Parts: sequence; C-alpha cells; structure tokens
Amino acid sequence: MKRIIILFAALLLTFSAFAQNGKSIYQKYSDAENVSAVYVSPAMFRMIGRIPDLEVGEENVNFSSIIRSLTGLYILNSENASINSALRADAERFINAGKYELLMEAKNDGEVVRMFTMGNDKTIEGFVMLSAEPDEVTFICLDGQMSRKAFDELLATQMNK
Amino acid sequence: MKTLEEIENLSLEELEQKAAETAAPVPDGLERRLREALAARELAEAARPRPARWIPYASLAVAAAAAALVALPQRGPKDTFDDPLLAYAEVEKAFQTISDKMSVGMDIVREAEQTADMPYNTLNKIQK
Amino acid sequence: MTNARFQNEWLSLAGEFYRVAFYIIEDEAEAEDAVQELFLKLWSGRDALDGIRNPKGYGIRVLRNLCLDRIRRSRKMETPAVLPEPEWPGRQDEAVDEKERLAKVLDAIKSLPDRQREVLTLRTLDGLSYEEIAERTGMNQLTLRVLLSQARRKLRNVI
Repeated sequence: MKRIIILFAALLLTFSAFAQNGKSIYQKYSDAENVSAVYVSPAMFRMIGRIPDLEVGEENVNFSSIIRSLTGLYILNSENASINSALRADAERFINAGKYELLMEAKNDGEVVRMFTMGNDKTIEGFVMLSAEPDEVTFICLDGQMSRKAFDELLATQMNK
Repeated sequence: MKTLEEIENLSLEELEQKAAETAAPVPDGLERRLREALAARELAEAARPRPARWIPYASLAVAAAAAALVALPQRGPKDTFDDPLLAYAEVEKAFQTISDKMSVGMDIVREAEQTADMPYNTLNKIQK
Repeated sequence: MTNARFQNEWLSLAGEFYRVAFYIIEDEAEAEDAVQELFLKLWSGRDALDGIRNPKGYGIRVLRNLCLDRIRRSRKMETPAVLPEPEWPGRQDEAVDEKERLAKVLDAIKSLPDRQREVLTLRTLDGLSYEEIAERTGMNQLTLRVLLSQARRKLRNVI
C-alpha cells in the first residue's frame, strides 16, 4: 500500500502544475510542520453573517454583507524553510494562471509583499496576498464576490486602528 | 422482512404516519443513550489532533508528503473552527494583516486617509 | 446551532425516528443503531441544520437512506465475492480510525457507573457549569468534581 502511495505521489509530481488553486495549495501545505493553517468555509461564512451586532472598529462598515459574500478564506503561514520556496512557487504559479492583477507591491526590510485581485472595477471576485521573508512565507487567499468599494472601506477601517 | 424494493417505495407520508403511531413502543432510555453517544462523539473529537492556529508556534506532526499529495482535490478541507465567533476573529485578523502590510512604506496612503481618498483609488494612481 | 437547541428540536424526535427505523428494519437493536447513526450524522452537521423547517421530515428522509444502506451492506455480506469500492488509502484509514475511536469512547462511557456517566454527559454534551449540574442533579460541587475526574481518568485510558 505504501509503495502505491509513493508511486502515485511521483506521478502527481509530474502533473503538479495541474489544478492549482487556493484550495489545493492549502491542502498541500496545511499539514506540514511549522505551518499555521486557517480555513473558513462558505458555510462558516454564512454562520458568521448571521452573528448579530458584528462590530468592525468604530466605523459603520457593513462588514456582514461582505462576509456573507465570501466563499472561502485560506491562510497559510509557514516558518518551514524546506517548503517555503515550494509554497511560494506554487502560489506564484496559481496567481499567474488566473486572471489576477497586481494590486500593490511593497518591499520593506527584507519582506516582499504582493497583493492581487481578480474582477472588475466594481466587484472583486478573488484576492490573494503573498508575503515572503527570508524565513517566513504567508499566503492569504480570499474567494467570493465583494464590492470593491466595500473592500477598500474595510481595509481603511483596519488601518485606522 | 421487507425487500429493498419495498423499502425504497415507502413514501415519506407513510413513514411520517408510522412515526406518529404512539401505540408503537419505543425502548426505555433511548434519548439518554443517544445523549451518551453524542457525548462520546464530542470526547472523541476533542482527542483528535487539532490543526494549528494562526499564531505560529510549536510544530505539528509531519504528514507524509505523499499523503498530502494524494488528498482528493474535490473533498474540501475541514473548517479550522467550529465556532463562528472564532472564525470571524480570524477573518478580521486576516484583514488586519492585509491592511497592515498594505500601509507599510506607503506614505501616500497616510495622506489619503486624511483626505478620505479610498485606498484603491490611491493605489490605482500609484500604478498608473 | 447550539447544543440546547439541537436537543430541543432534534433529539426530542428520537422516539418517532425509532418507530420509523423499526418499521423499516423490523429489529429492535438494529433500529436503535440506525437511529444512533442518524443522530451522530445530524450532530456533526448541526450547523447546517439551522434552516430546516421540517426536522421530522428531513430526519426521516436521512434515516430511510441510512436504513437502506445498512440493509444493503448486511445483505452484501451474506453474498460475498463483490469487492468493496476502493477508497483513497489516507481517507479510509482516517474514517476507520474515527469510527474505532468513537466506538471505544462510547463503550467506555457505557461502562461508567450511572452518576459518573450522567455528570460527564451534562458536562460534555450540554456544556453545563458545575453550578448548573449541581442544581440539576442535587449533588454538591465537590462530589461533582470527584465524579468527573474519575470518569475522565477512565476515559483517558481509552482515548
């Protein structure tokens, strides 16, 4: 049985470019050592949307409507040097394969942060953040339909904190 | 004994009727035993190895790389949290991280906050 | 869905579900097993149950399918030679482990003396505080703590 798994894994490695998305990247790395992983499912987002009196800072942002429109959140934070470059490569391949546009890029103290969105002027359908430091890689992938305006407002309220 | 076909043909109305037949006996202590089964489930769940939290700390057991690759793509990953309040806290934290990193080294953004320009429009300016 | 709500809305239907299961399976022990399977399934998916307006109808539907599966499986065992569907090795082990663990824990709980079992259930399933449990059972809190730690110690050997 073990031999079959290893054979299969070898086969899969040759097709590793196939079917990259937030979910597959998450599943590939979430169990590795020194990796913190968070996944919030559409069902959980719906439940969050039903929490009464959600507060976001002091602003009156309609967070709950954004939350309800999110369908998935994947977070991977890796301090595992041996997988960091693979994780970065996979994330970059996924970003390049999709219709992601670079939203911003910043380099600061050895950390490179890139953020991407997918969608149009009014609506964001996906958001990815990839941050790479020498020892740490963070991958955040948000799926769902959000109004761009609401998304910006939300970030603005967080910045005011 | 009923055949599979007979069972498949049982209508829901008929079954709902049977459910309501108070004359049909129900074993004593059924509910209590069910509660115990559910408690057992909770305890068994609690004993499972838990996935890591957002705060990076002590290492997890290493899953075989092969097993990770073999995981079925169409089966979704499991929610990290059972509690929507905790999940919400993480979502908020994620937005916090995103916005923190976004404001790093961008003085223009600080200016924009005062003039109430939305960050997106500002970034748009930078990129163009 | 809160534990309390689940018990009010769904667990209260246990008797009715049992009657349905017994009508289909015609065996008391099997019927109770099927109902237990139903509730374990409902319990793990309880967050998705919030929107269901007819719990009885929904439960009966799920129960009927569960009963059908059970009967198919047991009849298949009587006529061997059909290989079971292959599953991904990783996931099958996980599912089997989980089932085994649950069975062990359930056995352990059932073997506990009545008072320990009751207290453990109130604490684990209902999430009651010591005060609340004391109120409900008429036991004093010190006794409770002792019972609970005895119960947990016995379970620890199993899990």
